[in-house]
Amino acid sequence: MSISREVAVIGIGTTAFGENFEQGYLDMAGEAVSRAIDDAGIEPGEIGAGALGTAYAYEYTTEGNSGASLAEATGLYGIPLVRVANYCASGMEAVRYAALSIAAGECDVAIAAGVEKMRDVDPRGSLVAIHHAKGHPLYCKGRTAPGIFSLVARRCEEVHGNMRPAMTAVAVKNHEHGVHNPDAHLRKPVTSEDVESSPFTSAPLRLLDCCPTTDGAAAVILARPEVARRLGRHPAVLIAGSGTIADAGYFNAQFNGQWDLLGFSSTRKAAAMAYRQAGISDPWNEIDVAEVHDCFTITELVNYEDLGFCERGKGGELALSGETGQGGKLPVNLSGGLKSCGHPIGATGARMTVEITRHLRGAAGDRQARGARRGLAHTLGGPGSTASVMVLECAD
Amino acid sequence: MISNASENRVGIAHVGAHVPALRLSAGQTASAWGRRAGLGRCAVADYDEDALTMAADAAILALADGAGPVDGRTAVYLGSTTMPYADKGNASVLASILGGDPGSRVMDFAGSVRAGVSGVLAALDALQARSVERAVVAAADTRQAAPGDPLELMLGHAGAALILSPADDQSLATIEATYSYSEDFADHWRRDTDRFVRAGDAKFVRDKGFVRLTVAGLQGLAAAAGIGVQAIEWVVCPLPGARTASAAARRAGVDESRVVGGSIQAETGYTGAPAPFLGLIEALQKAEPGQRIAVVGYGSGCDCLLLEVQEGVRRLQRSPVFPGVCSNARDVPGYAEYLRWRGHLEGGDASQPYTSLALLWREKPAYARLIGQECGQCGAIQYPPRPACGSCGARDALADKRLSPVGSVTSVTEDYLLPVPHPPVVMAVIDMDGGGRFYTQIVNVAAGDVAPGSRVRLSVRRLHDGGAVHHYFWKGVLLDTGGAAET
Repeated sequence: MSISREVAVIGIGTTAFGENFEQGYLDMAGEAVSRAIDDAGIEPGEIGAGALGTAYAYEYTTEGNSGASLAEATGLYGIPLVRVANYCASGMEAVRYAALSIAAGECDVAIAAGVEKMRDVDPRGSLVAIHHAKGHPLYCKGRTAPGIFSLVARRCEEVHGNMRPAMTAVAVKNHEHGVHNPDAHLRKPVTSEDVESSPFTSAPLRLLDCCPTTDGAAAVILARPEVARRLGRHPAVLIAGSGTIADAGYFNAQFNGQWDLLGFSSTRKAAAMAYRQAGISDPWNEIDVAEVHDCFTITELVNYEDLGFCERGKGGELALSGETGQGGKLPVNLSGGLKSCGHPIGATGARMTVEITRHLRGAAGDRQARGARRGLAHTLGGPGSTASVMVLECAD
Repeated sequence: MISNASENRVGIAHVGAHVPALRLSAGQTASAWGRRAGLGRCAVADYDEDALTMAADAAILALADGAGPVDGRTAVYLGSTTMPYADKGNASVLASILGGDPGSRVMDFAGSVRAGVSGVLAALDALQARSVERAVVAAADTRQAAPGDPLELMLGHAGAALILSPADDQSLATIEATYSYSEDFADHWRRDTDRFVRAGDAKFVRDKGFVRLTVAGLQGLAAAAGIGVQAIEWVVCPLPGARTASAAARRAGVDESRVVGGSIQAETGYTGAPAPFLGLIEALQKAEPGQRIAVVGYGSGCDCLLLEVQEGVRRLQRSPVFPGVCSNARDVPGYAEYLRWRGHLEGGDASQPYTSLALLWREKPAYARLIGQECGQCGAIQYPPRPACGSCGARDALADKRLSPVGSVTSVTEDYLLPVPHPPVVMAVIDMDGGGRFYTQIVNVAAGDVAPGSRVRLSVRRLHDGGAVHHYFWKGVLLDTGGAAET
């Protein structure tokens, strides 16, 4: 049994994404959930189950090790709430978990929240510190997040040629999109010269190829489609397909000699799973809007290929064509993406679900994807170890 | 003292050396002390090198000369005055890296810069007593003088290794006689509470220490062998200072043209425990079969060896150790940075990465010896070992498989974010010859030196000191420029 078209998104909410020094982990979780409940127009007591996506609890923050943190933030006591962690795909996995709770018949209404509080420490105190100071005492010492994806960029440059113009185009595009998103962390346009003169983080990636270190939370309320129809507040949005694939471990992804470093099999398999459920055979022509995991500009390029938006090796050409920008055939990351919104790790997948729902409702304001009927959200976790793809569509 | 009977002779079968890439010179240090730059220059350990890593690399290179694996009948001896652990085995770390069997005889030789040659004497006795069948004797030192002390640029860092086994037609040389002379003499010393080596009055130490005791050693060695010192074609007697060895040989009645080892010492400075080994390697690269080499391991007296060069030396002369191991020489990035690495400048990042002694104990074969797995179902070679095949998922088809320590770079990045002593850290994905992939840092390279196709060998370096434990792991050393030069 798949959950295809068995679950609707009825409520959405996020905090602002940024350096939320005035808000703690629980404050952000509470705000996002309150907004989602208000958006849905339900009573909190109708929620029967839920999941909290947080990638790194007790690493650089003090909360989030259990669904109990979600109960504490929201007052939703007395129901099954769990924490899910799946690297950078944690937030989308929380959505998938909540959807499965409904599809399995455990409840009619469920909540998913993604929360990450990264800026209670300095930027290098979060992910860089995890890579350097935590984890195995020996393996992969010397790795950082940009260091993982820069290896992909170098390999792509060797096989496909100069990736710089396309990586720059992604940065310029997503910054331009972010200007129109009031909740984005970075809301300023950048020029090609800005990108290409920014300092190296991990060569060939430069600072403006990278997403910032950000706080944020996002929440969605899911329900059976008949609940959505009864509420009638918003155009009904259904989960048409949902795929998550774990295709490697954390360290052995990096040591796996079968990996060509040109893309991510986890994304390809998660997309195949979601497309099969949704009945999609030609994603480029059947998807109207997408949020994909642009932790680094190179990642967006290989995501195009892995998600089937173009042939393998053609991601750079697609980026340069302009067809993935606002007004293009398949606009990608109209929110500004991770590049502009930032990437509070556990929040990102939930934020993407919120963003796609807005476009399908026709409620995305001046960044609306015109005529969007079906959208896709994609997150990638670890060094490509795991990926999640969700396809949402208008019910009618 | 002994003179060996021919039926029980012991040979030196293989040799290896590790000279750090970095050089410290007077041009860099002088201004800090308000002096005009002189001529001093020495090899110094990188921030991730110590006596163990240099000894291990030298031993790995010696073993790679066709010596085969270290087994339970192989002794592993380490000589150093600068052991990374003052209280815990050091040779046992070396043995675990070299693949030592639990049955291996493992010993630390310390306390004096003669420690390397002392290890050879102990190995000789053990081989002649047939207690062991082979011995790896490694020596390395990272002796430090106080910053600004003229001694700072005389004391270089290096490692070297000799593999001893019963003499055969592959031997480079055979040990024909030995001689030991002991005398308490304070020339250079470091108390247990001192960080730095200090020196006595220079002229006194030279005349009554270095020269007089080396003369006693050379004359005693010749007498033990029943020959005159004139019959010794090559003399290896490394001592601090550029001309001290020649002076000592001359005083012993040896023509100074027979003194060898000066070329490598000019490159490294006086390296302490490994110095006699390095000089011997230089001598073996010049000597003819049938000639004699005297080796004096100086220190509170001396331990001395008389060797006869054998036909096997032609193999070494076809692929010499020097100057190849010195070919990547480069200046330290700066004197202040060098002092920071050595702990003389405080501040900056004091990161203490996570560690677990239980984990390190459990996983030792994998990290110390590069033991991965080969899948009997799909043929994939994976590292590190896992309960299931990372390629096909098979759970019951995995067999231990040691990765080749040599491979080619598939992708590389220069990472500027990681808090390391000298950013950027160069991280590479390396596909090893014969299968399996490794992912690690590349040492002693600048951005752009490494490219896809670059050939790399793995060498042991100190990764970090989390939990106040030295963590040793494999980093890549560039063998050549691979495709980088051509493209």
